[in-house]
Amino acid sequence: MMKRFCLAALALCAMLSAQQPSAAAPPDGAQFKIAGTLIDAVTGAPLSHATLTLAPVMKRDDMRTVVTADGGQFLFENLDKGKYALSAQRRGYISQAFNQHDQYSTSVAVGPDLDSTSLVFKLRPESSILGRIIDNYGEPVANAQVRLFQISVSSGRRGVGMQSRLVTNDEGLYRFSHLPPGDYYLVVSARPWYVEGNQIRTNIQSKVLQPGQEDDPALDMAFPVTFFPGVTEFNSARTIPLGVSGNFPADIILQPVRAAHVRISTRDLDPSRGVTATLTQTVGEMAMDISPVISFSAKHEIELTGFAPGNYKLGLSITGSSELGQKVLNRFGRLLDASVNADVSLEQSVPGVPVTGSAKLDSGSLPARGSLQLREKHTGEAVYAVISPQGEFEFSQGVLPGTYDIAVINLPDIFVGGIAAVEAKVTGQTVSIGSNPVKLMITLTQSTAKIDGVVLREGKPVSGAMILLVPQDPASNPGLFRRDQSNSDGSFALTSVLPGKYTALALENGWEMEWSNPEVLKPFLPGGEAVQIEAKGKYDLKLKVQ
Amino acid sequence: MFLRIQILLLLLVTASGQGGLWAQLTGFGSGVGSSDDLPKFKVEGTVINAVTGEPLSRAVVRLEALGVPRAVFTSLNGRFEFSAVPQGSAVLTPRKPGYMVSERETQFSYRIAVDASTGPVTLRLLPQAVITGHVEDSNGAPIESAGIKLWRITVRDGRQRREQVAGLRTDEDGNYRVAGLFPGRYFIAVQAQNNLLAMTSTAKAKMGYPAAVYYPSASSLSSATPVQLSAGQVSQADFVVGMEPVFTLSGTVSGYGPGQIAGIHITDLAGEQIFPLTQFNQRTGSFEFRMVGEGTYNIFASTARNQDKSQDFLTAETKVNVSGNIKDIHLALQPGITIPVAIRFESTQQQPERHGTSVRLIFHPRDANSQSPIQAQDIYPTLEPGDGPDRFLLHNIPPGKYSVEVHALKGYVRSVLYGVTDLFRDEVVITRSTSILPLEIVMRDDVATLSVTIHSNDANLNGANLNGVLLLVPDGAPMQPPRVNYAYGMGVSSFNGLAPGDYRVFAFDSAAGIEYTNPEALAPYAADAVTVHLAPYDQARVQAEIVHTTE
Repeated sequence: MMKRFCLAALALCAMLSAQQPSAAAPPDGAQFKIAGTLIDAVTGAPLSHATLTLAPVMKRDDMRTVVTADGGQFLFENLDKGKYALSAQRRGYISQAFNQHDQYSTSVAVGPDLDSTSLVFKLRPESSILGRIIDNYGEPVANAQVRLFQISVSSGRRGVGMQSRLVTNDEGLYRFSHLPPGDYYLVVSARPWYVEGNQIRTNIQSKVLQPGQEDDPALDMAFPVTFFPGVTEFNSARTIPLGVSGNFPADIILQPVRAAHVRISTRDLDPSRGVTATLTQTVGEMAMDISPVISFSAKHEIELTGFAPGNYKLGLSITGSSELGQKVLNRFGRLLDASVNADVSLEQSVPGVPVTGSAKLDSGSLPARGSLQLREKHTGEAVYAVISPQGEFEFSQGVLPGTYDIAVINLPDIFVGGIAAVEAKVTGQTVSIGSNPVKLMITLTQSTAKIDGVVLREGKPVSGAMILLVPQDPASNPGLFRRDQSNSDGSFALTSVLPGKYTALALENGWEMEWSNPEVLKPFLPGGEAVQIEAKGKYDLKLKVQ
Repeated sequence: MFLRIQILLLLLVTASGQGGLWAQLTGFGSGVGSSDDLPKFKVEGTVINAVTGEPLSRAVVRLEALGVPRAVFTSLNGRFEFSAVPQGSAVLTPRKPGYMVSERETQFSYRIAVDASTGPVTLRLLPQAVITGHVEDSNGAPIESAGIKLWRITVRDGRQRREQVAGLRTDEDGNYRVAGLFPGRYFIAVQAQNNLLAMTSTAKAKMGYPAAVYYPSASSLSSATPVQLSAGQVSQADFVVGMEPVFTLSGTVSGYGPGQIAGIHITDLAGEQIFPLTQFNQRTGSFEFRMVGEGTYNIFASTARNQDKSQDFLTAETKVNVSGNIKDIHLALQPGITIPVAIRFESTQQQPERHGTSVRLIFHPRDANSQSPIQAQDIYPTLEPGDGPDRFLLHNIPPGKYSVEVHALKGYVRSVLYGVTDLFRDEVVITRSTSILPLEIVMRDDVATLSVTIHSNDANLNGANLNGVLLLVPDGAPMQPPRVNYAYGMGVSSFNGLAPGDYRVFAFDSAAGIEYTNPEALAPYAADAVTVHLAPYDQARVQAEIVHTTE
């Protein structure tokens, strides 16, 4: 079943209600039990003194809690027939629902002929990564940005996603707590304390005019982006493996290098009205934003410094005045190979292609607000446009050429039903944008179907299987996939299914599978159930687990 | 501690009057000119620890001259040197992690004159103070993510204030750390988060963490013990936070119309907002605060202030004593009090100028039970035109006791009366229950001027090297703050637009930390004050000896 958000909140609160035993008299027919053992998901050791919370799926505020015994056993008695959401909480462990994967978990069904008394609830231990960031003088680096990326499979794709980010304190210390087991990259970016960074300097011209009055060269330094265990080359970076509960110490020494200086001519724009610049360094799938020190002169020139030489994506926005005297905002994005001294002219920028269009519901009415998202298939970069009350949208910064998945966001229960385009190739819910301006016509729909079903192995229900509804041409329709997890009686439900042809799969070990890759899915498709979905239909499926 | 202040201001201004001073100050740093034609000089000096006097190596010194910043590291013996600095003035700023420029010294900043006579400069950095601590529950288990607030008792504009200087949460082990603190008096509070289930539970006997525990274990700021930090001190402040019975407060807010948006919040007696689970029904006006511990609180309701002022800003306030659940609390929103103001000009000129709204009023709340760490927000009402040329209105003054500060923007204020209350001398109580009186202000234009020349016993610190803070205290007007002037290096400073009368002049090297709006705070320096009588149109001159103050 799909876990509702409130479950997490309930798990959090379980501690307190544990102090108040729920000893209501059993109502008639309340004759069933849920029992099992809570164990450490890594070591298998039984976990005593943990709090388990149980609530009927249909009435989640009717909670009761128990505390596990010395052998990790738990028991809920006097239950009515039905499905229950079970969650566990213990200090040193990630609070989670029973058999939880992403936002999915297994509800426990109780009733005649259902075994609900031999559950094994695996709770994942949590760990901390902590340490001190120092520089080559052994001085603590305060306010360093420390980013933690986790390697994991999410939405059927193995990737590296940012888990958390924080800044070091005045002693250079940082600490990431409550981390689930897994493999992590730790990345540090910082500016040496002695680099003047917090104010915009207004005059590079006079610096240039006065040779011999430069700063102490020892001050013109920057720390390169540094990976655990203290390396600046991603190839030499090591992952931090977290398993059993504990603290993983990760101290890092930052070695400064001579800072890069990039001069940018702003052509006819006077940058003194306001400039913001961001540099993004992308290593593998990890993107790190770095704020440069910005100086500008009256001669339409900007200097960026305070960062190490390297490859960056530069995002620049200038609020200035045009020749007509109007206030204009210009944004630029380009790749930058910043050596120690580089000159850049904005003409070298890769311009985005104008992308505009309209979105309307298939019922003919206009959507209430909402946004469109274009996500590039390969880089994963996303751009957004707000849908106006008239149903129109415009990607104001333009869109770089590429192949994009289209999705509608911030409109609950509304989905992209169809796409037509001028000057772009549409495949499924994917659009390829070239060098010409594109017009998109998006049809949105609320007409979705629901699939209920049960997962079986040799006629018996299978608990905890991943249900995956695979659209035709999966590569071009990532937004049409639907997922669930089977409950202890094998039941599942898929909601908000758009009309079309699908194959429904039940995969016993699907959670670590990169199912977004069609090649990975291919061997399983023949073992699934083909289903043709009509708008507002209701379906009942029996799936064989694979 | 007696601090001998280093005078580092060497402005290159001949002592010819304040016009020159102002030209120098306002021109400073704003122009970016070419320095090619100017003679160049060396600027050198040392950065030291202000407490121990030890030189500080690997500090950065920034020098800005003619708008151009430069920076160098200090050497092992704390020394720094800038070559070829153009003649004129420059500002030096030292920096090192763990150190700060003291508040006394930021008053003047390290401005120096750059010329042939520029000698070595000593820059002082104050080591930071730190507060660390641990928060645990009554079973000794650490409380993670507990909110920590830190206030410092400071003196700004001669008034003691409580300023929040940090807000953070404890880590996984219940620990916290606040660094970068100035020496001074601090209050610390912790608020442990109550968990959601307890907040939403329907169980009868409820236990929860209190709204705030003030160090060491007080339930209110007024009974808390301050932590006194000296420069460089690392202090530990631990808390044990136990659960206690908590209660539900409920009631209604009335008096607002369908087009108005009302809001409600609850504070402790120190004026700090607490955050129980709060429900407010905009349509019915019913409200509920859950998980409020025993104690006394203020509940406030108000309407959103709308831009066009077409609707009144409504407020209501009630004090509750919580020792059990309280129902039927009623808050009736009412408009703030509008006070008419009449301004009368007594001009001595043949053709008096039109003055317009030429006064500014600041209302300083004075709680009757006020303890020093408790300080409400000052009110800066705007004078809006009334029903006559010299009649104005002050809107939305909450009921209360105030000292009212009055400034003339032209001429001077001769007197301010609210009924028979002389606002120069006394506090005023404004209530809804009695009839609202007009505030009667009399202004005149027969202003006097006073020039003060400061000098020092220290022969090295006279003439152009001398700076200080001058306070001019009018006699018989304890509710009015002294006039304050800074004398940068000049040794001479002038006060204009003075009312005729008797004054006392205080000359300090620094007024940082002196609550000079409180006559008692100036009492220890009474013997050093210079008294002066000003007649109408006087242009008087006096001399004052610089008094070294301690922080």
